[in-house]
Amino acid sequence: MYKLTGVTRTYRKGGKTVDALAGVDVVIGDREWLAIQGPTGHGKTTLLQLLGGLDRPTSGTILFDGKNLGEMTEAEITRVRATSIGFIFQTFNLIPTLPAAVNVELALAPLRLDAAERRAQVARALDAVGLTDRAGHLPAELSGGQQQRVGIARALVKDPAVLLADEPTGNLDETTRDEIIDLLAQLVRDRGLTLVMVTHDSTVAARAERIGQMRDGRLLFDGAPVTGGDRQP
Amino acid sequence: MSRLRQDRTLRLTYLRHELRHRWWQALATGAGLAVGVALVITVSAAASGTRAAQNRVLDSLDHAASSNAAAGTVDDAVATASGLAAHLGIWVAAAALIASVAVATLLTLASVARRVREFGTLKALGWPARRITAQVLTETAAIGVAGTLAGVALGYAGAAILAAIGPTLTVNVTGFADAVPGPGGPPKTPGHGPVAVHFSAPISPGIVALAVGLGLLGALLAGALGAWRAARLDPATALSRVG
Repeated sequence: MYKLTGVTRTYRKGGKTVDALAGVDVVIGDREWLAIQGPTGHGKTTLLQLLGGLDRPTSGTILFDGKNLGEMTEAEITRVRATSIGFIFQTFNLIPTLPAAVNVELALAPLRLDAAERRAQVARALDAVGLTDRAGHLPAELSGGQQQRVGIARALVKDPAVLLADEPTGNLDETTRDEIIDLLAQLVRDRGLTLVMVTHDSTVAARAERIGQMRDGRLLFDGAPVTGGDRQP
Repeated sequence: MSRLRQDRTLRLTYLRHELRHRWWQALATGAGLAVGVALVITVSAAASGTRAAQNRVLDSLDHAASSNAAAGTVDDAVATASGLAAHLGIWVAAAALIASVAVATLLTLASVARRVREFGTLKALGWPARRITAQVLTETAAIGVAGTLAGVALGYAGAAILAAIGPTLTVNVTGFADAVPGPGGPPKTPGHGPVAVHFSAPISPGIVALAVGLGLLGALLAGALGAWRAARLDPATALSRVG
């Protein structure tokens, strides 16, 4: 699904150059569940944003289905996000003024669907996360776990190839966390999705097929960086 | 259903919920525009009324003064005062509208700033910049139309109030001889008796059209600036914003 080669990302901050990513090499396979851990400020979220086409690398290549995200035009990369990538956020990022169903429907807005098909897909997505009876509720009327379920429905409704999750259980209690991870695991398995998940929670990370550690902008597996694009089992 | 229609349906759904749940922000922006439009109409009406009253006075004086020189002097004086009042009215109205558009623009930009994460999320969902632009413009246009219409209603109400409470001037033309003596001798005063001049605040359709046009243009300007800022947000930066 992804092949990253020598990916760096540097920022200018306070007159200094900060290497958020200092050369990441990794291959993420189709239908793989990869967890990324590491201390705050070591590049986890930056890596996720690059995988999602929300940012571009300073150097190196990010191949997504064989296409270089870094060389795509803004319109092309926007199209990739609209069709192939679903995001799940720690703080859910639901639009507070919109009911759950409309929040989910927003993900279908850029696609060429008629209204009936759009509503049917929204209904299926909400059903998949067990929130059919909460379709008309505003985010503030939902619990944290329910809000994250809406966030998952919004990520899944367009039937993407990849889910990118940034601390999806970071704002949830343990019971709800386990429910959400069980739900994600089931959906990823049933739909054959690739899941890349940033998490501080080792219990959550342990559910993944592979765990990478971000240290000083480098992605390490079992203490060593992956080079040459070999996938670590 | 056409693609355009689908887009519009979802955009209007979004708009409806936004206005329902952020009504106080919409109200503040709309009220700013409404006050500007209302002031344009009311001040213009007041200026027209003042001009009309002065013309009535002038007519009375013209009838009273037999001396051409005296009539000419009064003519010039009243015409100058009338012109000053009209110009002052136009400048006050223009300043009011500019201020209200500035307020609407600031409120729209503040609203965009509060919704940075929302727009970042939409970009993450694959919304192109033009769709975000259209959403912000739709919201601002709706507020602009409502604010402008409310401003027209307020303007008419303001003009009506001015006309109701405006003073009725009494011109005593018999006293004209004392006030404006003719050159080279005592003035001749026919003695017409007192003339009542009622203050009115007539509203010109042209001014209403101008106020509506400027109000909508102001809303469009505010929306365009807000939409431009929303559309050019870097999604990674926007999503990192707390709140």
